[in-house]
This record gives sequence, structure tokens and C-alpha cells, in this order.
Amino acid sequence: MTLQLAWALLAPLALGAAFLRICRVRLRDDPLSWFAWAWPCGCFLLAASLWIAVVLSVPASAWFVMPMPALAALWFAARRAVDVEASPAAPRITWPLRIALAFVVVLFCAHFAKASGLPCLLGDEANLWATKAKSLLLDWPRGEFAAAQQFTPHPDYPLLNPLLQAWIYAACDGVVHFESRWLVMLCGLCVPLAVAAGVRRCAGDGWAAAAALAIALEPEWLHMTTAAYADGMVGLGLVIGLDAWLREHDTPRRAHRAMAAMGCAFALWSKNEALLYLAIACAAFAAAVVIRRRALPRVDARVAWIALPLALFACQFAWNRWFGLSNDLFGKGGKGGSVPELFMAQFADRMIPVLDAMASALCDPKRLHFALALPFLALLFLRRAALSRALFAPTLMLVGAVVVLHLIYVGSYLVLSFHLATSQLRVLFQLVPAALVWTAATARVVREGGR
Amino acid sequence: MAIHTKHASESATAATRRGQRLLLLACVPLPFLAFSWALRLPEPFASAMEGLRGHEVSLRSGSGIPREEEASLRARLDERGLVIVYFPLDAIAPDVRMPLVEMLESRTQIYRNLLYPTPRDVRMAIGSAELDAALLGLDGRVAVVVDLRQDGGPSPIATGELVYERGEGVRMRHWLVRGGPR
Repeated sequence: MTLQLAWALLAPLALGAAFLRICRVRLRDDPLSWFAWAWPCGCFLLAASLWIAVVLSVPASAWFVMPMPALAALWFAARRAVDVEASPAAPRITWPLRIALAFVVVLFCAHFAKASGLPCLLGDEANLWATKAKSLLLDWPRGEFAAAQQFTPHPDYPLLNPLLQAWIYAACDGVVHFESRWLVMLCGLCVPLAVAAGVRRCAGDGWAAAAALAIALEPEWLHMTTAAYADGMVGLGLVIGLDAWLREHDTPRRAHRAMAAMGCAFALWSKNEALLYLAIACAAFAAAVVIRRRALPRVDARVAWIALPLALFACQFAWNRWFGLSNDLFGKGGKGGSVPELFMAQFADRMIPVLDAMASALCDPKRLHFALALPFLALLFLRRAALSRALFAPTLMLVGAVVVLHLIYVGSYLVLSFHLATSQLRVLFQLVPAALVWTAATARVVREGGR
Repeated sequence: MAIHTKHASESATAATRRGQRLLLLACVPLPFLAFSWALRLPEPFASAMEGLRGHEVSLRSGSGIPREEEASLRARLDERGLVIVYFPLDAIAPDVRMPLVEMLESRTQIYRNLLYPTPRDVRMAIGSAELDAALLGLDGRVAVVVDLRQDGGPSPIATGELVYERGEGVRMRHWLVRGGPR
């Protein structure tokens, strides 16, 4: 079992390394970005190969071979990609940033040890994500997967997190209540690394160190690294996607386009909120084309990467349709009506308390969520920088996401105080890593006198 | 032309100054953050020791379900079986009712997530009417009622067979029910 567990941990790293090799992101050029990106890319590819295994009804005992064909294909493709321009080399990491990152890793180890004493039995971590994982492992082979989804609170939620947990169950020959979190927790570790990689490019190592520490000392990061929630994975996908999008505006490279697509796909496959964020970003992009008369990107091989999140969305949609799984807030299963119906009915009672909760979250100086207030302020006082070419869609995405997330509370069937208390800060924190990178990018535009 | 250039450079300078002020404003919460970080810092290191007790010990203390109780439930139920966590709250005053409901909800989650898939179906009953309703849909399946009443009253189900009992700490009895309602 130890060997199988070692392979379970090594496989995502090997897949991620192979994917970055295709994109010509080299460890020696930018080690921080490499470490922040390799793990989520590997987890995504591992989960994709496991999904194929599940659909083909490959027995769980043979799942351990599933990453091997993908690995072989990736290494073969990497050998053919030698003519691709390498991602630009980053400056050497300075000592303050090294110390900050070392501290983040030490803190992660403490969280890891803490999680080893907490079985995965309570909350959405167990009721939703782990139950889905158990269902993929145990119910699928007997054709009972669809029926078993009645025991999860959100049957339509995407499968990246459950597939990663099911991979560990398969490696441990059955359900385990501690080790199953490991891959998801390591995604949590990648969040401050990805933020630091994004911030240092725009604002230097000092601010990158501060941003990494700020994330790591936030209580929400404790949840990301001691439990198998998917909120950290959404945050990781978004921050990677935004960083790569900004890099692509500075220096167009295959690596940046690939990572932007991978970041979006990773977030999209982690939790449904990402669909909302990306829909807002697409609407903002369309608005930029229409209002600002920006040219549409030429449809050629360079935009082919967009097919990755689109294909993933189509597959997840088809999966839910296949099993008749619908959202408990928006679908037919909504209690007392769907979100739009309840929104109209509860608007008068809930709007003020929801606005109050939003203002409290964004103005609390002791929590990092105040970073989400900055795009609002920038829209008021720094319109030129906030709506510059590269930042137009990200700014509107962050502002729109914060507003729309709160509007959902108005139309929720749950008791408002309960729903806010159990999810508001956790869900909002999905946007905070991206907001920190956005702040660094906006500051750079301001420093350079706007563009 | 020169006037235009001068205006453009002045407005750019003003924008930069405005941006710098906003960035300074963004830095205002940093001392508060640093203070709250310092207060939070010892917590993860202190609780890290809890993880060094071994998984079996952590599982038992974290779930509150001893190995024998889990084995007893698994031995009597198949995957189609039903566990009902029962604690009547009919006579409880409304102001103390909510925390008890939350506690029972947590117990129910723990049983469900520890036992899955043997059985998959774990429910909570906070009154005799809810217990009846849960047992009505039994339809030939086997159910175990986890009776958390502390007063030690008779079986809440006429046909219930006592299959497990724990007296120390929180009192607990398991009643096995086959078939239809009581």
C-alpha cells in the first residue's frame, strides 16, 4: 500500500511536469511558477484519465495504470515541441521571498499534521465531496451511481475533487478518512505559491512575499489545507488563469495561453461558482469588443486552447444530463422555488441584510477579503488603469462576481443567517488570490502611468 | 500641440498620484492584518500534535463511535439498510432546541459518512412522528434506530430488538427493526 500511495502522489506531479514540458515552462527558468502550476495541471490530467476509466468501467484495482498512457503521450508530445518558444525566464528569487515561501511550507506541514487528527466525517467536505468520491468508487461498478447521488447535497457539482479523492481510495484499497484529502490539500499549498508567482512579476519579490504570507495566515487557507473542500481549487484555477492571461498580454507564448486555459478549466471542474465567474469574464470581454471596439482575436491555432475549458464544460454538462442531476438552487429540485423565483419573493426582506453582510466582509481590516473591495475602488478612482486592455475583463469579473455571489443569497432557499455564516467568507475567498494578483497588476499600470 | 501634450502629461501625473493614494489606502489594513496574524500563528502549531496520535485513535475520538458499535451496525445492515438517529425534542423548550438539532445533525452526518455504503441511507428523527415516517418507507429493509434518549425508557418501536447498548458517557441503544412501521 505504501508503494501505491507513493505512486498516487507522484503521478500528478509527473503528469504536470510533462504538461509543462510541452508548454516549455522550465523549472530552471521560473521555479516558483513551475511548482505552483505543475501540481494543478497534473491533478487535472490525472482526474481526466480517471474519468475515462470510470466511464469505461475499468475496475478500481487497475486505476493505477490509467495515468501511464497519458504520461507516455505527454512525454512523446514534449519531445516534438522543442521548437516552441520557451516561457521567459524569471529573475532569481531573492532571500526575503525564499524565507516567506519556506515559512508557508512549514505552516502547511503544521496544517497537514493537524488534518491527520481530523477524520473526514463532517460538513460539505464529507457530505458532498467525499460521498461523491465513494460513490464513484463503490456505486459506479454496480450501476447505482445516479441513485446514490440523492445522498449528496449538490448532485450536479463537478468531479475534479471527487475523482482525486477516489484515486486515493483506490490506492488504499478502500475508503479512508484521512489520506483522501492529500491531493486536494496540496492544491491548497499551491495557492500562495501561485499568488507569489503572479505578484512578483508585477510588483517585485517583497510584495510577493507579503502576498504569500497574507494568504497563508488567513483562516480560510487553514480550511483549504486541512480539509478537502473545493473552494481553494477554484481560487487556484482563477489565479493561475489570471496570471497567465496577464503574461500573455505582456509576452505572447504558448505556455501562457495553455496555462490560462488550464487555469479556467481547473476552476470550472472544481466547483460551480467558477462557471459564474467565467461567464462574467466572457461577458466583460464581449463588452470590451462591442463598447471599446477592440478587435476580436484572430481565430487560429493560438486560440485553440480555449477548447479545453469549453470541452470540459460540455463533458460535465453531458454527464449531469446523462444522470438527470440538477442544481439544488437553480434546478427543479429547488426547495420552495428556484433562485430567480425566490429572488423576487425575498428581495424586500433580504436585500438590505445581504448588502450589509457584503460591506462587512469587504471592509473588515482583519481579513484579506478587503482585497475584493479594491476593484470597486479602482472603478471609481482609477478607471483608466482598471479598464486598461489587459485588466478590463478581470476587473469586471471580480466586481461582477462579488455582486452576483451576494445576489444568490437573496434568492436562496436556506435561512439567510445560516447560509451567510456557513459559506460567505469561504466562497468569497475563492476570488481573493486572483484579487491580489489583480492589485499588483493594477499598481504596475498606475506606476507606469496607465496604458 | 504643445498645450495638448502638456494637458496629457498633467492628467497622466494626476492619475498616477491618484493611483498612489489608492495604493496607500489599500495598505491601511496591513497593520491590523499583521496583528491578527500574530495572534493566529500559534494555533496550527499547537493543534498539529493532535495529528500524531494515529489514525485509528483519531477516527474513534473524532467520530465518537467505538469500533464495536461500527462493527455491530455493519454486521446487521446491508447497503439497502437504514440508520435512524433518534432523539425526541418534542418536550424541549424552543430556545435550547436549535443547538440540540445541530448536534443531532452532526451525529447523523458522522454515522452516514463513517458507514457509507453500509448503509447509504442515514436519517435523523427528532420526534416520534418523524421516526414513524422514516420507518413507513422501510419496505422490507432492515433498520437500526440509534436511540440517544438518556432516560432509558422502553423501545420507541414495539417490534424493536435491542442489539447494542453502551452505558458509559452518553447512553446509547440500538434497536433493530425489520419490515414495516411499529
